[in-house]
Amino acid sequence: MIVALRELTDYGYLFRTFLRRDLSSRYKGSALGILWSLLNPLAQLATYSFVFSYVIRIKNVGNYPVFFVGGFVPWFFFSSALILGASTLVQHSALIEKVYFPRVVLPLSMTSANLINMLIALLVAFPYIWWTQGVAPLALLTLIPATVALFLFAAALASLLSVVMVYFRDTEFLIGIGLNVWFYATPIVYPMSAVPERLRPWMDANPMTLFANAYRQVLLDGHAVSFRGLAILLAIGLVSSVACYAVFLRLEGRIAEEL
Amino acid sequence: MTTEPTIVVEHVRKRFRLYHRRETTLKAALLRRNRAQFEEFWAVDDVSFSVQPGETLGIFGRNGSGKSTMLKMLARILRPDAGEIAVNGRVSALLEVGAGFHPEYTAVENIFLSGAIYGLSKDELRPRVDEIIAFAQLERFADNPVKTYSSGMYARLGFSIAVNVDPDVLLIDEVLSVGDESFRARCYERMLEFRDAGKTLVLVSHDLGAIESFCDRAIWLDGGKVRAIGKPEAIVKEYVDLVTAEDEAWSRGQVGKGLVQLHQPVNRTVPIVLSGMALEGDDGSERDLFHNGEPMRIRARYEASNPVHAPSVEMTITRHDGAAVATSSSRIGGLEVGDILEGTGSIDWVLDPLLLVPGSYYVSVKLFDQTGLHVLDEQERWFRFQVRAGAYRETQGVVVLPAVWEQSRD
Repeated sequence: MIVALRELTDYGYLFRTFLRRDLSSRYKGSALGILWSLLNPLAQLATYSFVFSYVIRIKNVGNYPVFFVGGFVPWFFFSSALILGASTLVQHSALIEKVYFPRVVLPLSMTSANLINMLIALLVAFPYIWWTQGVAPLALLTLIPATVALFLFAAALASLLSVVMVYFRDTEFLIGIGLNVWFYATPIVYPMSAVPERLRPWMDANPMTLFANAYRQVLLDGHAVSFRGLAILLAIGLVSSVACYAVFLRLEGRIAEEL
Repeated sequence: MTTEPTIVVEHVRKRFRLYHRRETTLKAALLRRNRAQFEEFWAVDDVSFSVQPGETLGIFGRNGSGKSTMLKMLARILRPDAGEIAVNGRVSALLEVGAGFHPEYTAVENIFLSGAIYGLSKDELRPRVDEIIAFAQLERFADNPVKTYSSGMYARLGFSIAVNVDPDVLLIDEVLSVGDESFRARCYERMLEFRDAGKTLVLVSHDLGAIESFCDRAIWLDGGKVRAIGKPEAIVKEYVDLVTAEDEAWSRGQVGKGLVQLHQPVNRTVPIVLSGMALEGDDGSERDLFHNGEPMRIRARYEASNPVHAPSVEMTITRHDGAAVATSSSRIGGLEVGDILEGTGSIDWVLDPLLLVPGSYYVSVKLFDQTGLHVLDEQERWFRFQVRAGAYRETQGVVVLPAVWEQSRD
């Protein structure tokens, strides 16, 4: 794995090339390009806010849209990185069958493109959060390691799924179902306080709960993520990366014939 | 002189699965009710060799002998199931025309893309772009998307990138066959420079002439195993002898069964039809394998249901790729066919000596009326035959021209 990682450093330009393409293919052909990429999360934000603050009336969350954004921004990044990242190897089968490069560059660049989208979304949401919640600059700094950890976690799963999908094409379909369940199993549309007491330990075993809570804590309450909290998040990111990358390297050997 | 070999291949094996029924869904894999059914075969079976810096290795063999699989493993596209491959240095692989190109990108954009795939940075690539374009002779088309390129232009660009990214090892699979002659010559020249610079080259080719003239060492793969390894002249000859012997055996087998006709003659309501054809050697034996330098008689049989006045026959020999090699007709050749009465007969085109280079060819036959304007019957690619090296050693080009070489000193 060390050898593979060292080799990967030679492919920085390839990574940037793919990243530019992953970004621009979504924004291509319209001046409003970047806005289009925000349209989907914005529409979801509006829908969920309407349903859960006017129809179902979830209580004790303060400002519902900000509450929702806090959990939804990391979730939206995570789920789109998984959905789009998982199909990268299959989509680039023509390339993979004919030329060599470290295959992991493909899911990595796609995850990174989604990360950039998330940062843009955060930037857009930021003035509103500032206006309603105020801003704690020191607390915001703790979002940087939290985001690094989230990126590692998403990239790890996206890479793993991309190579699994080469062997089993219906993975794509299962990812859709899995993410849907995962979304509701994570306190994004509802607060942790609405979860029955005995279920909470189970909820905390879900890494995405920890990420959503960290974002929410910073954006909503202006509290810095604790050192212990950051350590746990980074551990999740690192362990999942190492484990998934090890599996990826094992399975990557035969993908050119399986595609 | 002992140097570290650039490429070391040790007991490498690669297994492929031939799926009868393929399970590509997780559902099927989990349920396990319908297990995937496949046969395994060893595409490369216990191959070992090493290549020194500055050495050129040629790999040849029949289709399916594992040579392309071997090259793909050297290029790290496939991973061996057993054994070890160690390659030192940057590898540049040209395995397929246009591999790794984005059709919508221009030549210049593709240079950056391909270069990135080879692991180069933008700064390393920028100074090479002009040279790559110039070597590929694509100056006028550099800003057009490569999807508008011909296959020759693709090949030029691909080769030009592969040799100009400063690789230590160059792997080439047959791709030079698409370029034109002058580009091919420049490629070989560039590969010679490459070799003289102490770099390593591995060439997979059907073109035995190229292997003989260009490589320092050759490997003959047969059924995934190394059949022979050594000086190209010796093992290429061994290979050609074997293939020729097998083809002759096959050909004799066919004579007994009646000759292979690619198209059955069609009965039409014309007074005369082509009813069959045959190729004969000078001993009168019917066969479809000839050695150049010996005589070949192409016989077109006809069957007339009514008398026909002065028809003529035209025959064309085409190469396997469809290129016409020679056309002649009884009229041009000065044969007065005269009136044909009812019944059968034949008109022959006798080639003596046969001056084709080794390869496979087709014969097409047309039967014209007396004016030479109306086709009475025709058979496209009616018959296939093979030519092997006999009296002539030439393998390149289209035909052998009767000629001698001379030298003089001033």
